[in-house]
Amino acid sequence: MNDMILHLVLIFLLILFALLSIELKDLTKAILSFSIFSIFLAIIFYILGAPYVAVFQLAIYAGAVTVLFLAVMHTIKRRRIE
Amino acid sequence: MNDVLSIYLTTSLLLIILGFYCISSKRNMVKTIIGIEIITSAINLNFITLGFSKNGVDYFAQSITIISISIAACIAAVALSLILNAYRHYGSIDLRKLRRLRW
Repeated sequence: MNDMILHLVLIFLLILFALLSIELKDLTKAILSFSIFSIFLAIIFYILGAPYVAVFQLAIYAGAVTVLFLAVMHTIKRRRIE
Repeated sequence: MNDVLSIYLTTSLLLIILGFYCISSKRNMVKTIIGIEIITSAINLNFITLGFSKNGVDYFAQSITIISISIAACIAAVALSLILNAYRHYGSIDLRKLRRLRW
């Protein structure tokens, strides 16, 4: 029963941050919500018995892809100001 | 054990629906790429869930998921470079401005 509550809380936070990353108007907040979404997905992978997949998810999604998104957004915003 | 699996499969389906909604309704190009990444994450969750059982985990599904994560990073890199090219050409990241295709 206690295990079930943990699963439900993780799933609720996962869907909440997915909705936030879709619906937020500010691109920085949306990209950071996507990063937190991938961190929660990595926790779920670890619970489901896949620690290597969790490590890959943290390193690639929460690290590399988020940095790529932030770099592109920063380039676009700086060009828009000029 | 079985109800946990069905809950995760439902979550995966819900995330795929959210990603399709994001792709089809948002006009910002970065939001479209975020939708594609959400769909890829949902499919990874589906693979891991189906490879999980009471007797043990399926390592073949996990290796397929690791390859899928790497390919999703490559997709994000190529799509963001396409966004930068389109922004340099059109001066906007609105998808409706891309209708006027010309050299």
